[in-house]
Parts: sequence; C-alpha cells; structure tokens
Amino acid sequence: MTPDRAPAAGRPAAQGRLRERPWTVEDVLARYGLGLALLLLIALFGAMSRAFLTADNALSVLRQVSTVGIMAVGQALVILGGGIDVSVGSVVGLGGMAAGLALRDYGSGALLAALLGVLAGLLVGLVNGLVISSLRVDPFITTLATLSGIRGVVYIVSNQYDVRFPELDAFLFFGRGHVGPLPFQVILLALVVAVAWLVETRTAFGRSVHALGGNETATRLSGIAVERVRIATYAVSGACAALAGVLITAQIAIAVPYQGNGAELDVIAAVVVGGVALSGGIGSVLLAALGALFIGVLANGMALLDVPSVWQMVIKGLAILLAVGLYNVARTRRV
Amino acid sequence: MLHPRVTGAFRALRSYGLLAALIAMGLGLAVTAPGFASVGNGADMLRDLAILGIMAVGETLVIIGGGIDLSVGSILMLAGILSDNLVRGLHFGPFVAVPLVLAACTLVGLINGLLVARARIPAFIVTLAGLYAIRGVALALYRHDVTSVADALISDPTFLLLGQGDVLRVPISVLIFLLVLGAGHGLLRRTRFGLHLYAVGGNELATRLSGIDVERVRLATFTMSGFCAGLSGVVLASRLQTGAPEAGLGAEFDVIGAVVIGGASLLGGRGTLVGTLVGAAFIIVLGKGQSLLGVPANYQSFARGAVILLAVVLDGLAQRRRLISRVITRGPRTGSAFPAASYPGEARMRP
Amino acid sequence: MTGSPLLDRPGPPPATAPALEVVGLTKAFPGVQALEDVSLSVGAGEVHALVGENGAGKSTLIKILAGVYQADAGSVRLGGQPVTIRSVHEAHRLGIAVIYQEPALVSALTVAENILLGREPLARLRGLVDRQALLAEAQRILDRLQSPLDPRAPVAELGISWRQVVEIAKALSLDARLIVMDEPTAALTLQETQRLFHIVRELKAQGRAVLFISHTLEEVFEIADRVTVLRDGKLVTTREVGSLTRADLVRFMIGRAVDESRNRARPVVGLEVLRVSGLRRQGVLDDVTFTLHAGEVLGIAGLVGSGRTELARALFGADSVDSGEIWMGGRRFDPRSPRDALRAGIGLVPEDRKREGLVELFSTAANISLANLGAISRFGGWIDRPRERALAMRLIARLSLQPPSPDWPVRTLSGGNQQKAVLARWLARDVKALLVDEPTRGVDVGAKDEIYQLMDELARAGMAILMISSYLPEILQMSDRILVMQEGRIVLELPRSEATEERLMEAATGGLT
Repeated sequence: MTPDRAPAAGRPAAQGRLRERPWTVEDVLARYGLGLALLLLIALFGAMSRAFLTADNALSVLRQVSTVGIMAVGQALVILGGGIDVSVGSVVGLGGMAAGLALRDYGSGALLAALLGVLAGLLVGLVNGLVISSLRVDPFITTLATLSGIRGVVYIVSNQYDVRFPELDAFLFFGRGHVGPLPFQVILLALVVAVAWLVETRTAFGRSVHALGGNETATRLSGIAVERVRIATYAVSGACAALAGVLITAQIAIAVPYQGNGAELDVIAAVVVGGVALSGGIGSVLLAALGALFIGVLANGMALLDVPSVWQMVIKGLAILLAVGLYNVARTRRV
Repeated sequence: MLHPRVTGAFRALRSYGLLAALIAMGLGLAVTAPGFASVGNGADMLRDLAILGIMAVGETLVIIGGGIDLSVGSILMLAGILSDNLVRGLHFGPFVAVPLVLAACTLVGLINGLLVARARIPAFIVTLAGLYAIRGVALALYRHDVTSVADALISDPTFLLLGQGDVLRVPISVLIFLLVLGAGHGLLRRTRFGLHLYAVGGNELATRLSGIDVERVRLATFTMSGFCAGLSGVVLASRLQTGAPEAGLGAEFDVIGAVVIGGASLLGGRGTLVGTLVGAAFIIVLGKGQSLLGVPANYQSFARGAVILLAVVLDGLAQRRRLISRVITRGPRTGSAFPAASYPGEARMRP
Repeated sequence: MTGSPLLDRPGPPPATAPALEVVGLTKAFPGVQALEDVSLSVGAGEVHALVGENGAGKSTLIKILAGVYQADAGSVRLGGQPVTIRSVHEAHRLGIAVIYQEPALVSALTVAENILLGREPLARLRGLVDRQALLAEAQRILDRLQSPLDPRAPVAELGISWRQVVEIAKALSLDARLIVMDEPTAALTLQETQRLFHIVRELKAQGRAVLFISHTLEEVFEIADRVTVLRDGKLVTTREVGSLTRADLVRFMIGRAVDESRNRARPVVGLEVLRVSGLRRQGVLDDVTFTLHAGEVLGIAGLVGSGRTELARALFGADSVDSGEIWMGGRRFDPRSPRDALRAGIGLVPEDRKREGLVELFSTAANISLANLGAISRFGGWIDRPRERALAMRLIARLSLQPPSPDWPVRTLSGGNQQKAVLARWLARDVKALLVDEPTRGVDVGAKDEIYQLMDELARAGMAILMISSYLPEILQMSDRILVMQEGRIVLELPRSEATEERLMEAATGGLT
C-alpha cells in the first residue's frame, strides 16, 4: 500500500475488525479526479472534432508531451521532497548542447553523446542540491540563479551560435525514430514514468522522498539522511530535463542555445495540474505525467478546434487555477 | 535613552557593501570598457534603469508583503502592445491611450490580487498562471498590419517623449521613475499602509491580531504591481517606438533579481526601495558593462545568477536561519494563535 | 486537599467587582479532561499567580481567556459583566491582553510602531502617519511603565526581555484591564526579571489585573498577591500568598502521596550502556554527567526548559554540543546526526510527536518502518511490502494499537495510539537504549497504562531507558533511578526508594541552590 496521499475523514472504525480504511470523496478525487477529467476532456474533444480521435493525432499528442512529461517526472520528485526546481528550462538547453558538442567536436557516438547530455544535467542538479542543502539557500532562489547561470553557460560554450553536428542516424533515432507505430520519445516517456513510479512507490528512496516532504524533522529524527535524499531529487530533475533536451535536439537535428527557454513554467504547470502539492509530500510522479498529458490534450484539442490563441492561453491559465483550487478545497475539507 | 546595539550590523554592512560594489564595478568598467564612461552610455543606462526600476518598485511592494508577482513581464508586454495598437494603429491621442493602458494593467493586477487575497490561492501559482494568460491575451491583441513603412513605428511625438524625451538633459523616463520611486518610498515610510505592509509580511499573525485587514493590504500590492508593470511597458514602447512582443520576456526574473539583491527577503517583511534601486542599478550596470566589453550576450545571465545567489547566501547568513521555500506555498494557514517558542533551552507551550 | 479545615479555607474575596471572574470553567479534549469546574477571580490591581504541574490545566485556562478555545461549560465575567470570548480578536476588544513566551511582534518595525500597530495616529492628510504623535504616544506609555526603552528602536534589535516590555506596552495602549502572562520569566535573567516585576508593580498601581503562570515559586512569593493551584484540571485552592509557605505550596501542587502499588521490583540492572561526562552547550546544558545501564529506567525530572529535551537531542545527535564526552557500550560515541545514533543502537521518542515524530500523511505501517527501511528492503532499496506489513502487524498486536490496521493514516489515530506508533518504530529497530521524552503527554488513561507496561517489559528484557517526564507520579512509578535537572544542570540524583514528589519538586524549582 503506498503511503497515503489523501486524507481519510472521520474516526477509526469499531475495534476488533481488521479492515481497510474507508474511502472518502477526497481519496477518490485525488486519485482518479485527473484521470476522469482527462477522459471527459477526450470525450468532449472527440465529439467536437473528427480529427481528434485518430491514431495519428493521438501519437502526435503523445510525442509532443513526451519531453514535458519526462521533465514533469523529475520535477514531481523534487516537489514531493519539499523543494522546487525552476532551473530546468536552462538544463534542457544544456543537455541538448552538450550532446551536440560531443557529436560535433569530439566525434562521439550517438549513445555516448546522449549520455553526456544527461550527465551534464545530472551535475547541475547535484550543484543545485548541494547549495540548497549545505548552504541552506531557498530552493526557489537557488534554482532561479541556476536558471540564469546555466543559460549563460550554454551560450558561452556554443559561442552563441547554433551547433550543427554530424547527423548520425542512431542519434536522430532518439528524436525521430519509431518502434512500430510508437515514436521512440513516447516509449522513453513510458519507460521513465514506469521506472520513476516504481522508485517512488516501491523503494526506500521513494519512501524517503515522501517522508521528507511530509515532515522533514520526523524524517531526520528517524535516521534518514535527508540531505542526501534531497540532493538526489535535484540530480534526478536535472537529468530528466537534460534528457528532454537531448530528445529535442535529436528531433530537430540542431543544438540551439535558447532551447528550453520558458520550459520550467510548462513543467511546473503540468505538475501542479497533476495534483502535486507545492508544499511537499502529496502527489505522485504518475499523476504529474498525467498532468502533462492533460495540458497536452487540452492544447491539442483547442488547436484542432481552431480556438483563437488568446483563448488558448487564457484557458490554460484557468485550467491551472482551477486544478489548484480544487485540490486545495479537497485537502482543507478533511480537517 | 537606551538604544541596544545593532545586531543587524551585518545587514548594514551588506547594504553599504552592495553600494560599494556597485561603485567599484562602475569605476572598473569606466576604465576598462570602451564607451562606458560616456554621456551617451550614461543616458542609455539611466533609461534602462528607469524601465526596470519602475517595475521593480511594484514588485518590491508585493515581496515586502510576503507575496511574489511573476506576471510582471507579461503585463509589460501587454502594455506595450496595447500602446502600440491604440497610438499607432487607432491613432488615439496619448492622453487618452496611456490612461487606458494603465487602467487595463492595473485591472490585471487587481485580478491577481483578488485571486491571491480572496480566493487564497498561492501567489506563485496565480501569477504563474497569469504569466501565461496575459501573454496570450497580449499576443492575440498584437496587430501588426502595416500599410506603409512610415506606419511601422509609433510616431506620435507626445507619446515618444515618455521614453525618448529629455528635460534639461535628464531623460523623462528617469523623471517618471524618480516620481514613482519617491511615491513608493513615501508610501512605505510615511503612510499607515506602508507600516501595515511591513507588518503583514513580517508577522502575519500579529498583524491579524491587531485588527488589520491583511487581505486588503495584499490586494493593494498586486494592484500596484500591475500598474507599475504597465507604466514600464508604456515607457518601453515609447522608447522602442513599438510594442514588440519580445520586449518583456524574462523581465520578471530581472525584476525579482533586482529586488532580492537590494535586500528584500522573499519571506516578506523586509526590504527598502533604496535597496531595490541599488539592486536594479547593479543589474543594469553589470549587463551594460559586459556588452560593452564585448562579452557574449549571455554571460550576463551567468553573472546575474551568481550575483543573486551570492546576495541571498549573504542574506541567509545574516539572518542565521534557514529559509524555507515559503515563497511558493504562501497559502492560507490554519493559524493557531500560538507561535512556537524557539529559544534555546526554552519553555514551550503545553497542550 | 490536605484534609485540614484550617488550611483549606479560601482566602478573603476582593472588595470591588473583580476584573476577572471565572466560574465553573470546564473543557475537555478527546481523551483528556483539561479543566473541570475551575473557578477563580482576579481583582483590579491584583497580581494573581497560577501554578500547577504540567498538564494541570493552566495553559488551557489561559487559552480560553485568550479566545483560542471555547469552554465546554462555565462562565467568564469581566468587571462584573458576563462575556463570551469567541475569538482572539474579541478578547482584545474586551480588554484582555495575553503575553506569550514568544512575543508576537513585527521585527521590521520599531517599538512605537509595534505598540500602536493598527491604531496609528494619523496626520492631517489621511493615510499618512503622524510620526511625532506616534512617538509621543509610545513614549507616554513607556514612561508610565518607567521603562527606559527607546520608542524609535527597531524591534529586531531587542532581546526577549525588551520585547516583552513592548508587548506589555501594547497591552497598555489597548487599555487592557486584564493582562495575562504565560511564564514570563522563563527566558529572563535575574536582572531582567526584576525589571519585569517593576513593571508588573506599575500595572498593579494602575489598577489593572495581572494573571501569570509561573513555575518558579520564589517569584510567586515575591510578586503575587494571591495564588491559585490547579491539579489534574481541577482547582485545588486559592490563597493569599502571605498565608503560605513554600512547602505548603509544593504540597498543594502535588497532593497526596502517589499510589505506589504499581511499583514492581525489577531485577538488578545490567552493564553500563551509556556514559555521559561533562556535556556542555552554551545556555542549555551545563556539565551534565551520568550513566545509564541495561535494564534500567532512568527518570529525568525537571521543569520545562531545564534542558532535559536538549540533553536527549544531544545524545541522539540531533543537536550539537560544545564539549563533553559520550560513551556507548564502552566506546567513544560522537553522534553527528541521528543516523549515527541509530547505528549505535539508540532511539528517540520525541516530545512533540505531531511535529517531530510522525509523518501524518503516512500510514501506520509506513511510520513504523521509517527508521528501519533498510531492514524491510531488499537489493539495497526495493521495499518488501509483505515484510513491512508483517512487521507492522506484529508490533500493532504487541502494543494493542487501535485500529489494528496498518494502512490507516496515522493522522486519524488517537494520541495514545500515535504515541504507540512512534514507540513501535524503535521496537522495530530493536534498539539498545531508548530515549523517551514525555511518553504519555496527551495520551488517555488506558493507553498510558499500556505504555507503562510496555516500558516495563522492555526494561526487563534488558533495554536501557531514559525517560523524561514532567509528571512526577509517572517518574516515581516507572524509574529505578531519578535525575533532576534545573537550568541545564543535574541538581539531584537519587534511587527511587529515596524519592518523593516533594523532594523532586523542590529540586526542580530551584529549592536546592
């Protein structure tokens, strides 16, 4: 049984009977609310647009959200642990640029280049984590500073130009390839989500992250090395962002210095819609990915219906507000 | 009269330290960077400072009150685009257009404030959503159907005075900034509202207990922030002669950076406009100096990031306390009337 | 009650309508009767002390007056008028000012601004603050308190004793008729305490009523006119301070000798498990030296703030120390973090289980396994759910935890069961030494007994237990040996056979210096 995400209302049941605790409205909402909303949305768009419910369109949506989805997984982990990482936008650029440079200047193979890209992001995450844990600086400010700083680094190493690299088929496969009908990116997303979900719900590390976000003091007093756990979450977030960057670079076959600009906002929006509480401890990576999917479907549907872009932005903003509002209500009702 | 010795000496040192660093940097650049120590550059930097500074005044108020406004960049963009549409496109006189634009932006700020204060949604989320929504609206309103080359830019001379005009060699935009700065300063130091604002940010519970309407204070700060961002946008549009959409991108981080470097705490209850002024100046000088030195454009971000980080670490050391990421979770607290006692070896509340 | 008709007679009632009159106040929380039919009165110009052990109900009474809680039954009258205090704001309006140990001030503002927060005098131009008037008014109030405090001083620069003065000044500016203080001298030096008393006498002279909680009995005798003693939520007596001796007061606080029938003779204690020597931490611990043996329950008595919790935290590696040595099982032990302590075999049940002990979002099983993730996981990380569950079930059964399901979120459990969950965490870990801070605080009678029984079993099985408690009967019932701490120092050490509540209370309240 996973650590409970939603509160149960009411007093414990009569003594002497061993049974599962009762499900309440809040439980249902937290677990299935987003899924239900997504299904409703799909039904709605499906009814309103012929083009929506096609396999082509579905794959297109999935591919579009795969990068944000991967990033959302990493971000969810950080936020579950009680922190936040706004530097991910720049790390996307870093990941892609590192891969591109490896291919161009060091003649490395596709896999190595990709790994180097991810490694770069991981390192940034470690730095973030160290500064936040050891120097005790506010996570928002730290990652905000990193956001600026890493963007600068990307521009420096690329000399402000786009980086064209030898277009190795293997590398381009990451961004453009298919396995059967599914784009590789989507498979990678599924893989990342699956692994993250398993780690989050079934490993000691995942449990520690939830505990850290839930009550840092109690976690520390239980002998868990909270600093290490925290640093690890930032490292994962950095790695995920860099991975997304590598995928995008592989897709467009060029490493662009401003890649990922503004992505941090999209990612946080996805995570928030997915029901991860910014205060920590509540939520899951699975739902965060679902949140990314939800926003992606929303955008896709609106585009197919030719909704004017004014309204698209507004609706997006409203969706975020509504999600937060609902989750807030569900959570405060329990007391 | 008893006057206990300052333990905020560190803080004072830091404020003077910042000023000293700014002057040192300025002098250094005057020597090393070609063209830095020229009147033209000086005027340029002042104009840049004015635009950043006007926005920063509003943001400072929000941050002192314990909130944060991420939507200022988008409001800036909105103001620019609206100005462009009204003055260039529809040929409204500036005396009609500018108040309209400012009103619209203030309204946006008000909406932000209502969502934060009344609906109790964390400011981080509201202004994040606002950032999207407002940007979308602004972009959608952007009309650039140009009929002739002459029509491509805003040409109303009165309007252009705002961003490009001078009075006795002093740029008008700077005068506007000084006016806003002065008004803000007066508001913070001399009015009841300013006092209450510091109180709200510093100790919300104590403030509530004193009967002050915390929500109203917060609401006001967001409204003012909207106004300031709008004003900045108008001045910028006047300066660039167009309401370019790219103008506001990333501005919010510059603004927040300026406020934080200037000594305000993201937890609220602390900060001065003088500090913000120095912080903004720091950012402008740093950026300008580097581009004059021929340093690649985005070294700026790197340096800016490092500076912000340094400022906050020093601030953290001065406070001797861990900063929690309250900035994003400032939501309704089920406040108990009991602040936890936390002195070493201290008696505590008992159930 | 002592049973003596002479001593049990209440003191003479005050002459005019009392500033505060409380009749039959009753308040219950789940599992705990905090106040039962308590009545007292405080006259205008009277300084009234409220004493009693921890858990006696003093804080609850204060909170009701402050508007934080509502009484279940009983009435409150201010200046003869019946009132209902529904909120903190209303308490203010009615002229009740409560000063807590941590003053609620805005540090970014000055003294004057804090005193008159929300009621600043306005200049002719509405909205602008009349600075002169503000300073003048604040100065006026400070003068009445005869305090040399500068109204222009930023509160951020003030130490706690000065902040208290500001709070009192604020109360004065609200023209509070009743000023309540919760252990005002707990954090003050001798000198600062004198300064405070000077102010209290000023308030008295102004005809205001002062009600204060105190643990330091000397102060009660020094400053109070009358004293009310509470015990277990009930009123014991109200007396003129002049008519009592210190010994009388202690006796009232403690009552009859405790029922000691529960005392079991434990087998001889085993080897030394923990040795502490010269532990020091500035302002908190002062040369603490003692030993703890296997199979022994060492009770640590003392007032809140005497350094007991800090000692436990230091032993657990949660706080650092300036100097001193700790040995565990004969080897030097220098815990830098709770992880070190765990590895050495020490566990800590913290004082505040809500804030420091439990992850409320987690289930019972997840809380139990929190210190033991290594043992329930395989391949270095994969949690073995069935094993975790089995472990939890085993401990739930052993501790009779209700509800007996490992999946219930810990938040829904009663206080006693929550405490059991925390204890279970360390049982899962099979520690050698257990530090327990206030084992039965906020725990109902039934669970209390079960916890005592558990600790007894553990001791018999060889565990070394260090038990911090503010509840003297508990100390006497459970301990083999007792240490009394006062102001960071151990002032008394004695075997249980020589201990009485009076002796312990004497030592704890500084009667042995």
